Amino acid sequence: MKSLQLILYFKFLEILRQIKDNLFTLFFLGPIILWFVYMLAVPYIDALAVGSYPILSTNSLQLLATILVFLFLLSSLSDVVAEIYPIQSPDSYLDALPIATNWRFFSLLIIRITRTIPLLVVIGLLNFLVAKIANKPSQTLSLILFILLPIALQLAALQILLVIFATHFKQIYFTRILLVFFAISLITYLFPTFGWCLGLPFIGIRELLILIYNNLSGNSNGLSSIDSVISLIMFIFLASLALIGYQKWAIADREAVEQILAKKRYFSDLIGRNFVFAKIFGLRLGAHLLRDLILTFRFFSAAVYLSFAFAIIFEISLLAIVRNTDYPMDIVSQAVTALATFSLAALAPALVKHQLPFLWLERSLPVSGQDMSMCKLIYACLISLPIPIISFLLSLALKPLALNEESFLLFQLMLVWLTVSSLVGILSFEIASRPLLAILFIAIGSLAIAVLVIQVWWIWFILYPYLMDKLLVRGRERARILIIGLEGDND
Amino acid sequence: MIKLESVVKRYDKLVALNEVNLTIGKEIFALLGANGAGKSTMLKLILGIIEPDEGKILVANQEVKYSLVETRQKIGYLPENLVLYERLTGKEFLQFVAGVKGLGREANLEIEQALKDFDLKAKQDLLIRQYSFGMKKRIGLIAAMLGNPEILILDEPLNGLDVETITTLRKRIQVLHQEGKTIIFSSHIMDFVERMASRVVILSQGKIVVDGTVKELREKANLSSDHFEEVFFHFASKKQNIA
Repeated sequence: MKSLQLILYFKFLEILRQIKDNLFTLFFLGPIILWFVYMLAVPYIDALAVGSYPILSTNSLQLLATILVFLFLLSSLSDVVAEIYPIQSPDSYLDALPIATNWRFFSLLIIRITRTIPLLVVIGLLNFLVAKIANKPSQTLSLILFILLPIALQLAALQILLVIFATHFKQIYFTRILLVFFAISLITYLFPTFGWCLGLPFIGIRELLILIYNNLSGNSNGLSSIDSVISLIMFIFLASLALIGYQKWAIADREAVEQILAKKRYFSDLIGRNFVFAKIFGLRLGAHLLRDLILTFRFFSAAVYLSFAFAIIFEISLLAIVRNTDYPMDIVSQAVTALATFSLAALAPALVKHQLPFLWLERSLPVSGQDMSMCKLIYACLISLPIPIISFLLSLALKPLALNEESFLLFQLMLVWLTVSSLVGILSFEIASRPLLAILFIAIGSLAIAVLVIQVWWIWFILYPYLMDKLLVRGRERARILIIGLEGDND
Repeated sequence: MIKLESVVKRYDKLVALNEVNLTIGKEIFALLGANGAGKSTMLKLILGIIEPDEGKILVANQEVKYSLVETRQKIGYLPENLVLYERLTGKEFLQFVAGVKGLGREANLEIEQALKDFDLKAKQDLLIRQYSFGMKKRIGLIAAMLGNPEILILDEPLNGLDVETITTLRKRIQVLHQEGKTIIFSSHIMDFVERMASRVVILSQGKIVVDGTVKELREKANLSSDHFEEVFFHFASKKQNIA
C-alpha cells in the first residue's frame, strides 16, 4: 500500500510540475486560442439548426459511436503499452524495486483513469453544450458529470485489458487490432443486438456519444442511469480480468514488447531510394523528407491512424453530401478536399512534436531552419497529395461533367490542396511542443484561407504569394529557434 | 547466495544464455563479455525483471520467480540504461526509492550522506532534467545502494562517471565487500575489473567461457602480455569460443 501511495504521490508531483512548466500555454495562450475559436464559431452556432438533423437508425448510431470509441482506443494504444510495459521510460526503474504486482497494477489503473478523465470532461461538456443549444434541460450537466466517472473507470480498465491481452496473445499490432475492430464494427452494423452485447465493455462512452447525436437530431432518447450502473459493473469485471492477466503475464510479456520494438521494420528499402529524393529536392532536404516519410509509414504515433481515418471519413462524406443534398458539387468537393487535406497535412506538426527529443541530431549536423521548415512544407504537400485526386475522381463518379468543367474543378481542387497543405506545413513549427494547440491554431488559419479560395478562386493568386512570402520567413525563423534550443525540447 | 541452475534464456531464435550454472557468494563479482554476450540478460534474470525459459534462479535459497518482492528487497540495482523521472529533484527521487524499499526516516540521513559523498549535495534540489549524464548516473548509484542491500547489482556502472566518482565508487564497493555483501557488476573497463573483482566470469555467446580470479584467468590464458584486456580478448573472442 505504501508503494502505491508513493508512486502516486511522486507521479502527481511530476504532473503538477509539468502543469507549472506550461502555465503560459494552459492559462494564457490556450484560452486565447479557444476564445478566438469560440468567437469565430458563434455566428455559426445559431445556424447549427439543432433538431433538423436526420434521426439515424439505432444500428447506424451504434456503429458510428463504436467506430469513434475504437479510434480513441487505437490512438491511446502506444501510450498504454508504454505505461504497462515501460522499457524506455522512467517507470522502467520501478521494475527493479520491491513493489508487489497488485500495487503496481493499481497505480497503473489510477494513472490511466486520471489520463482518461480530461477527454471525458471535454465530451461531457460538449454534450452539455449541445443539450443546452437544443433546449433539453433534462440532459443537465449534473447528469452528465454523474455518468462521467463510471465511464472513465470503465474506459481506463478497457484500455489496460486490451493491451494486456493483445500483448499476451501476440496481437499488439495496429493492423491486427484494426482488423478485430473492423470485424466488431461490421457485426454491430449487421446484427445490432449481438453488436450491443459485444459493445458492453465500452457501453458508457458509446451511450454518451450517441447522446450527443440524439441531442443534435432532436431525438428524445437520453442517457439512462442504468448505463452508469452497467459501466461500473463492467469496470469491476474488466479491471479484475486485467489484474489477473497482469499478475500472470506482465513479466513475460514485457519482453514480447521489447522484441516487437526491436523487430525489423518495413520500408527499409526506402533508404536505398534516397537518391530519388536527393535528385528532386537536394541532398539535405531529400534526407529529411525521406526520414519523415519513413516515420509516417511506420506509424510514428497514433496520430497517423487518426489522420488517415479522418481523411477517409471526409472523403466518404463527399459521397453522402452530394447524393443526399442539393449543394453544388464543386463547392462540396472543394470543402471536403480542404478538410481531408488538413487531416493529413496536420501530421506535420505532430511529426515536429515527435522529433523534439531528437533535435540534438539536427543541432549537431549542418541543418538550417530553412531546411527544416521547407522539409515540413513539402512533407505536408506530399502526404496530402492523393486527396485532391481522390476528390476529383469521386466527383466525376458522382456527376459527369464536360471536359472544361472537369479541368476547372481539378484546378480548383489543386488550389485548395496547395493552400491548405502548404499553410499547415509552414506553420508546423508554431507551438511545436503543443501539437494539439498548434493544430487548432493552424486549422483556423489554413481553413479560413481555404474558405476564401473556395468562394473566390482567383483571390488565391493575390493572397497565396503574399502569405507564403511572409510565412516562409516566419517558418524558417521558428525552426531556427528550435535548432538553437530556445524552445520546445525541454517540454 | 545467488544460484543459477541450468538457466536458458532465448530471444526468438537468439540464445542469450545457454545452460548457465553459476553460484555467486559474498564477493565482488565481475561479469564480462562483448556486447550482446548476455551480461545484462543475466543481471535482469537475477532481479526477476525477465524470466528464464528453462532452469531456476535462486536468491537466498528462494526462487526469484515466486518471491519477487522479497528478492528485490535484498537487491540494489543500477540499470545500464538509466532513465529517471525528469521532473523530480535528485533528492525527491532518492526519497521515493527509499520509501518503496520500505526505509524509514533514517533513510534521510543516509541520503544526505550519500549526496555529500557523490558530490551532489549542492545540486540535490535541482530537477533531474537539469542534471548531466554523469550526475544522473550518480543518483542511480546512490539509489541502488540505499538501504544497504545484501546484493548490489551494477550494470555498466562506470559509463559517464568522472575519475573522482569512480574513486568514490571503488571505496564504497570495498566497504560493502568488507561488510559481507555481494557485489555484481558488468563493465568494459578492464582496469577497474582488475583492481576490484575478487572473481571474474567471462560470457561469450550466452555461455560461461571462463570463471576464476584475475590471477587464475591470467594463468589460464598464459599470455606474454601484462594487460588484462589481452586476457579478456583471449577468452571473449568468438573465434576462441568456436574453437
